[in-house]
Order: sequence, then C-alpha cells, then structure tokens
Amino acid sequence: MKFWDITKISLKNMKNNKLRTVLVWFMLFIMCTIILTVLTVGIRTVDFFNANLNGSKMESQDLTIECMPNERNAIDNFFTVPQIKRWQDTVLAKFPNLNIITMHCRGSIGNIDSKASSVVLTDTNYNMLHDRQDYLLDGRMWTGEDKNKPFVWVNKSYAESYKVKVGDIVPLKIEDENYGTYLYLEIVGIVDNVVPITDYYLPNIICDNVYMQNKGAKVTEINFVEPITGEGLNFSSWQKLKSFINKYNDYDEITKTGSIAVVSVATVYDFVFYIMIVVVFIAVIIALVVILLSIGAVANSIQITVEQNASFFGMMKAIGMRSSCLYNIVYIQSVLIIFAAVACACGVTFGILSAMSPWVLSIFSSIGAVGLTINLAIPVWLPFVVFAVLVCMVILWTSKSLRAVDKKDVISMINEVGQ
Amino acid sequence: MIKLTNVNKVYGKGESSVHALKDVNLELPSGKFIAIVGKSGSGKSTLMNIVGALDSCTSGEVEIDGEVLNSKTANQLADYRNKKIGYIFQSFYLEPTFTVLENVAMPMTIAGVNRKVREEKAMKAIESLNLVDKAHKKASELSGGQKQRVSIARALVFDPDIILADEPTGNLDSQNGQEVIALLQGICDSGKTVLLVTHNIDDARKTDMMVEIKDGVISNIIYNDEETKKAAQHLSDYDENGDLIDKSQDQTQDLPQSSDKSENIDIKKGDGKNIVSDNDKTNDLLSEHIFEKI
Repeated sequence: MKFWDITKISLKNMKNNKLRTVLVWFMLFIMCTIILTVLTVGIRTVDFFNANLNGSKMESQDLTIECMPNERNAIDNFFTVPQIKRWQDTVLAKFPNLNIITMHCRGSIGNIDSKASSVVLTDTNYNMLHDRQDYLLDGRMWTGEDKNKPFVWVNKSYAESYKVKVGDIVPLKIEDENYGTYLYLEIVGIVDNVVPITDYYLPNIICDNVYMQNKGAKVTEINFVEPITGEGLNFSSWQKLKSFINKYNDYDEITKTGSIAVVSVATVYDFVFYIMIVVVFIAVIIALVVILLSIGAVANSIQITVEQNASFFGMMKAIGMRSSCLYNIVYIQSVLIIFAAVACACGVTFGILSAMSPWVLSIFSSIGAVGLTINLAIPVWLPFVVFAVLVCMVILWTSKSLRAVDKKDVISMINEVGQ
Repeated sequence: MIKLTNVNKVYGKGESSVHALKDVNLELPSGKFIAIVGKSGSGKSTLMNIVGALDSCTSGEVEIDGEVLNSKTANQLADYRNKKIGYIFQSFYLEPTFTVLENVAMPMTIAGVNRKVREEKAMKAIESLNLVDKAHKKASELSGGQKQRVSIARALVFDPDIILADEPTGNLDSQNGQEVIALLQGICDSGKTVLLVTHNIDDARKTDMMVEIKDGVISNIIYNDEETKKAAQHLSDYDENGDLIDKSQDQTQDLPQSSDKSENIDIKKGDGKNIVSDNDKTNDLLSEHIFEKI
C-alpha cells in the first residue's frame, strides 16, 4: 500500500474521531508546552552560569594570578564583567577627553594579599608622599589641593603590569554591601616601585580617604584600588574552577584572619552549583512528571483508538490489508497529532519565555547584576528530542495495543463492532 | 475448487469451548452459486469465514484451487483475501467518510495499484451496478440497498475468483434483497464461485446447491435445478428460531430431482454424521429434510 494512501486513511480516521483527536492534541500540546518551557529554563540557566564564568582568556590568567588574589577575580569576573561596557560608557560620558584604560576587567579587591601593599592614605601619608618628589616618575605628586578629589597614584610596577598611565580612569569598588558600587579615579601620578619611607612601604595605589569616606567607603578598614588590564580569568568548566580553588586553598585561612569579610570563590561556586542543582532538579522532576502523564494519556488514547477501530481494521484486513499497513495507519495518525502538538507548543513556549525574559532581567538588576542577559530561546534540538521521545513512546505503545488486536482472527476483529 | 478436509473449529478452551465445526469434509465446485444454510450458531458463517481466511480452523486442511490456506503466512493470506476473495457482508462495512469510488477501489488501493488505474476499474464496477451518480457521494449518504451494491462492487473490483456473501440481504428490504440475489446470480453466471450464507431458504433455493449445516456438521446437500429455483419464490424463510420451515406441502411436489449439476459435487463423509450425497440419493434426502420440518 502506498504511503500517501495510508496517510489518507489516517487523516480520514482522525476526521472521523474529531473530538478524540482534538482532545489528544490538546493534552499533548499542554504537556509539550510545559516540558519545553521547563527544560528550556533549566538548560538556559545552566548555560547562563557557564557563560558568565567562561568569559575570559586563559593567557590573562597568569598575569592576574601574579598580581592579585585570584579567588576574588573569579567573583568579580562573575558579577562584573558584563558591567564593563556600562562603566566604560559612563566614564566616557564623564571624561570624554581622557584616555581610558582598557577596562575589560573588574574593579577592586579586598586586602587579602598578605603583602598589603595598597592603602588609603591619611593626611600625614599624603604629606609624606608630597615630600618625596624624587620618587615621582610621571604626572605630579599629591598637593593639598588634591584633598577630596577622585585622584589616584600608582607605583611603577603596577602601572607597567596593568599598562596604565597618567590620565587613565580606574574603577574603585567601595566595600559596602551593595555589590557593584564603584567610584572612578583618575591616575594623576606614577611613583617608583615600593621603597622604604621611614617605617612603611609606599603603597601600590594611593587615593584620598576623605573623598572615599564621602562616597560611603569604610575607610576605617583598609580599602584598595587595583585596576587590571587583560580580559580576566577563564574558567572553561566547573572542574577547572574547582581545581583553581584547590590551588589557592590557603585563601580560606587568609579570609579568617583578615579584617574584611570576603566572599570566597568556594562559597560562590557552592552557591551557584547549589542553584543549578536545584533548578535542574526541579526542571527534571517537572519534566518527568509531565512525561509520565503524557505517556499515560497517550497510551490510554492509543488503546481506545485501537479498540474502537478494531472493526475498521478487521474490515480492512478482510479486503486484504496487511498488518504492517494497519500499524502504519495508527503510527501516522499519532505522529501527525504529536507533530501538531509539538509545533504549537513551540510557538506558545516562545511566547511564554519572551514574556519571562524582562522579568528575569529585572531580577538580575535588583541584585546588582546589571548588564547580564539570559538567553531564554528554546534550544533548537529540544523540540526534536521531545518529538522523537513522544513518537518512540507512541510507536511502542501502538505496537503493543495493535498486537493485542491483530493477533485475533480477522472475523473477530470485524465483530468488535460497537464494543 | 474449494476443498475442506477434516476441518474442525473450536472456540474457547476447556469446558466453555464450543465446537463450531466438526470434521467437516466438503468439496465445492468452482463457478457455482452455493448457499450455506443452517440455524443460528450451526457453523455456517464459521465455514464461510474459514474458506475466506477470515478465520482459521483449529484442525484440518482448507484448500482453494490447489492452494492450502493453512500453510500460508499472514501476508500471503492478506494477499489471498485481497485478490482471490471478494467479501459481501450483511453490515456492508464500508468506510462512511470515503466516497463510493474510494470504497470500491479500496482493495486495489491496498494492493498499491496506481490511482488512475484503480479509479478506472472501480468506476467500471460502479457502472455495472448502476451507481454512477453516487460515485462521488460518501458511503454514509447511501441507502441500505445502495450500500450493499457498493459492497458488491468492492467485492468484484479486483476480479476475484470467489465471492463470499454473509447474509447480504439481512439488512435489506425484500426488493433490495431480491436485487442483491439477482446480482450474485449474475456474478456466478460470469464464471465466479459465489458462496452465500443465508437464513432465507427462498434465497438459498435460487442457488445451484444448498449446503445445510447442523451443529457444526454438514447435514444435507441439496441441488437446485431450475424448477426448484422457481419454486423458491414461494418458500418461506426460516422461522424465528432459525429452523427451516415449509409453508406449503404442495411445494414439496415440485421438489427437484437430482440435478445434472450434482455430478460436479462430491460430499465426503466426515465423522459419520455428515451425509454422503450422490445423484441417486439427492432427491430422497431433500424430501426427507423438508418433510421432517413439517
């Protein structure tokens, strides 16, 4: 029997049983919509976390590791890399004539470096700095006029490491609870490398404590500014991140002894991982429940379809139809309904997710993660997988149901009329 | 030639089993109009279904034109039903949403015949049954008589050797019933074997021979000559219990003598209950059968 003729009979069958066909389609449509929505959100959430921890190049990592506590880089990378452009736009608007350094990376770090080479100076410190004009390599030294101004001095090694120069703008994160509050400081001078000045070392970065206090920084603690260049860290996988944490496992001790509470990478990792596990777990549970319901509903529907059509199948067999054709009639019927259900579900899921996107982004904004975007598009392969799973399921169940009917004699099938 | 050898059919298992056919041995000639008659539950439909490969026998052998059905695979049996047999059912079993043309062409559709060819042939069959104006109407829009004619057209469209008709007049009024029987007679006249299962003795007597089944056993074979066929117009139906009844004793005077057609018929003895009929015994047996019902 030709394929088109089988399809035609399938279509006629569906037409004969309009109500059941529509109900089965509707049921599958609802279930496919739920499955597609839940799995898309789950998959895209995982993609989102991976993408935001994978944004940088490996070659930058070494440089960064040498220069600053690396764990914090990961945190900053996670939260702030997407914000860089916004910063740049802001700074450019504020200082259009300035040569802005490459701001590919994060703003600042806490004092978790045991060398403690970055401090905010008191007036006395500033005066001392003013007195040591001989260490000035570029720009100018501090004067009384610089009080309460957004200026910063960096030492030579720092400037070389991060390729910054006088006139560049560097971001400084204020150590408060509002993660993502930054100040922008202009480099006005570059001094010689760390040298002994009386009983302390000249810091890597020097800025005005009064200015910072006015901006809400906790200057009773030690605040630091440490802009870096490059593109930050690259974590291509969770395993790499985990090994990275292990490499710097002494970080926890430092945190405990430090005066500033710092969120460690380990805690971020665990937090993110926990969120992912929960999201994926919920998604999988919902998807499984819906799939089980789908199986039950579709199986029941197929069973009824086959039983109610037993007489028709018997008649067709009586005039010479082979069993394989009967199977194909039901298969095609099922595949057509599933295809229609999945196609419609794709459209509705697209609408649901489009409506969800602004809501998700507003949540990101509320936690300070401005600039982050999540791609809630349905993965192209997902509808095909859902379709394939449903088709396989239907074929299995159809075969089972039809086998029970088909093993009867033709006349018994015909006599199923009205049953 | 339709040949059944020691055919048994048992439905169910154990104590609840029903022995529908018991050691049936029967040879039916090709090209004849043959009626199978008997009470409800006597096994006549079972016999026809086994011949048509709609049902399988529990034991024994069914041979059609030299081919043994028992040894055929499911697909071979499907092809056999498709090309060798034409079925006419009491309930028509047309697909209501298909047009008359599509229904008639269905056996050829199943066989994968090209659409143009099958529609041409189906149209010819429809024309031969005076249904041209209904060709593109849906089967559900037809009257009972028209549906049965469509059913006959479908049975004929693939030019099968054997036509099996199971109570084809059962759902029809008298006039339509007569038309259907006439059509079947015409089909037989064209050289095909027509096997008619019926309760209606009038219809049965219009055939070339009657095979009566009683409790799964061939109890009688009656050969109808032309006079008997005429007399059949006056014979009554089976009664409500399905028993053969004779409304007129006078008609027994016109009962047929052994027909010259009977030389083609060979009824074999089964388990001893089946009747062996030959030319000499035919008339006596027929008389005996009719009178025992009076």
